[in-house]
Amino acid sequence: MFELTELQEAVRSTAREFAENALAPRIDEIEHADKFPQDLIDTMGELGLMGVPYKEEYGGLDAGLVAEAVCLEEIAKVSPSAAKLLTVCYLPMDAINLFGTPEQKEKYLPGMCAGTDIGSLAFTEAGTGSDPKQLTTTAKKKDGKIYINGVKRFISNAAHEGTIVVVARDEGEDTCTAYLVKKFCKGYSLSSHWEKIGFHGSHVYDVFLDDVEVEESDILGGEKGGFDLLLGTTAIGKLAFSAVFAGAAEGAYDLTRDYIMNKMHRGTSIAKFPTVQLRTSMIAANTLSMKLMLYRAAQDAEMFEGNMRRVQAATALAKGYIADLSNQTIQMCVNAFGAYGGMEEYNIERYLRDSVIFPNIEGNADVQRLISGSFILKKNDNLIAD
Amino acid sequence: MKMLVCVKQVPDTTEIKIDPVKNTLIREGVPSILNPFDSYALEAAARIKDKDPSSTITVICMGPEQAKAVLKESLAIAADKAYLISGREFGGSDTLCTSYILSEAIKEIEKTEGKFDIILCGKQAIDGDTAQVGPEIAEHLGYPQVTYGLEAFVEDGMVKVKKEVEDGAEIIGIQTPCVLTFTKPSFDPRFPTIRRKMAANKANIPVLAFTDLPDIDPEKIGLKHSPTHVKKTFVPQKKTGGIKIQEETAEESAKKLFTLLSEAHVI
Repeated sequence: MFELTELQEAVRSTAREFAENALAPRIDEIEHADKFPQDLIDTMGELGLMGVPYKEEYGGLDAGLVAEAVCLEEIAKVSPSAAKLLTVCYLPMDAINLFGTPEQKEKYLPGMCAGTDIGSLAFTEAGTGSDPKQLTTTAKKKDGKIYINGVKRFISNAAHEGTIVVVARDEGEDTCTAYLVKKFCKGYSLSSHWEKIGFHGSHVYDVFLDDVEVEESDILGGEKGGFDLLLGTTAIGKLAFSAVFAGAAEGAYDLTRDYIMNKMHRGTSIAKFPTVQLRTSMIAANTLSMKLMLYRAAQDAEMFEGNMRRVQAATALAKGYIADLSNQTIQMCVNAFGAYGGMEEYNIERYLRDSVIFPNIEGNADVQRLISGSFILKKNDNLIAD
Repeated sequence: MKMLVCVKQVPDTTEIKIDPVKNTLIREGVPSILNPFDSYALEAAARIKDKDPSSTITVICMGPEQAKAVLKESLAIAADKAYLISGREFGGSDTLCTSYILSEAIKEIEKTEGKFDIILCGKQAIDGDTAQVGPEIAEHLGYPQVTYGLEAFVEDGMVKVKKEVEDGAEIIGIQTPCVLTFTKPSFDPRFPTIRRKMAANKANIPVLAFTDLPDIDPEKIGLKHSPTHVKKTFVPQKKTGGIKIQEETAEESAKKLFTLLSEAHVI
């Protein structure tokens, strides 16, 4: 669609080979065991897929955000769940990459790029929703140490060994700070994982932090820098999730097209029915529009690097649009299968189960529209003009 | 361990169609791929190198300029160096001539790279399916060989090959230098990493032409000197007869099949 650079093309072909040859044969296993095989995570690390946008000196490929979007899109076509798992690995890496000191980047990013340190980002709490000012997890200074107490909700990858970026309110203040915490350190414990309708194999947990001790050197993004860190990290994260959602729709579209082209009804291919052609065209147009929107947002995120508000507006515009449209388009795909759409054997229902959460993951779709809408109406930038 | 892997660029036969009038393969628009059996040989070499990183893997391919694509792919997967053997004089060679050219090229490459301990080949190419080139290379070079290998490893300085046999597998020790050919193992070959792909794209692949092989006998190469003559290629006649069962539902089809088999006293 867009002309990719040699490196971007290498990322795409590798992600596609991994998705089609390593991941696809394991989908049933992942769905039924609700467990993502460790060897597939290891393979993603070995291939370089876990370090796509990060600097080479920290173990990444320095391939940029268009390449990251392409990578996630390819994986999501086959398994939205696997792509989501990779996306939530990127989130803490983005936080470290954008806000870490050189020492912190050197300490954490190489392991995370290699897939040996599976990171998490812990911001959400039962009462926060999309508003970071409602945090109740607090960090208290005592005798030169910092102690974190609180409960975080829906934390992905929390049971994998690795690093978790915890955002906590500064005691007695309206501000918050991010900390780098080693999972399963003293005071770190988990609920059992939430049982979900979709995204099987990519678990979320409640994380209990009970007097978790950290040092000043574990502060990420400076004291009271928690909100800025969230803004910057989620600005990139919104792009990653947009790639997951757009890729999921494309995967569902491919399955639907194959089904239609092979389905006979009383001796006639249903591909010859005008109503089927009409609906297929609508599904194709939706899928293409998401893809275009995704690539444009990825280009914007690269072009406006460092201008967090601009990047956030561009990625929020894409995510608000793609999250809802992907969910709706996948429902159209399922409908195209008739009664078979609900049958596990036909695989399309998996995309629908995964897509149920699209409008409400990493910030609600309406909130994305508010972010981009308010930016467009405040700034001398309509987000569209070249 | 110094290893050399012979690879071939082949049409993806899963995509191939046959011209119903001319009875020939329609190659237009068919993607070319690394012969899958050669990828198993490359994986076998890579596994030896995993255990002994001082090992080297050189890969060679005979074919036109575009065959460099499979050499680059091999470099991306595991190989350290690659050579293309290419020349009009080699065109139309049958398996005997091809294996002779490859063995002469191996001798020439050894002049700069040093002697190879193991020469690894796929058991056959999926386009010709002869399974002759690997064993013939061994004969031209005068090396011992093990065919139908599944995997190879080095133990106490000796190369050991797990070989597929009809009722399982046997392990054969073989002295070096040797030729091994490989069939499909139980594991999948590794994927190329993004970094290796980028490095492979930039790699310079030397081409050995006819004139670069001073010791080669021109009377033993090319179409003219190939003893194999293809008399005819044809699509086997489709079997006629039989009954096609295509009821409204799969269940009805199954019932009908059961009835027919019962009536025929098959079950």
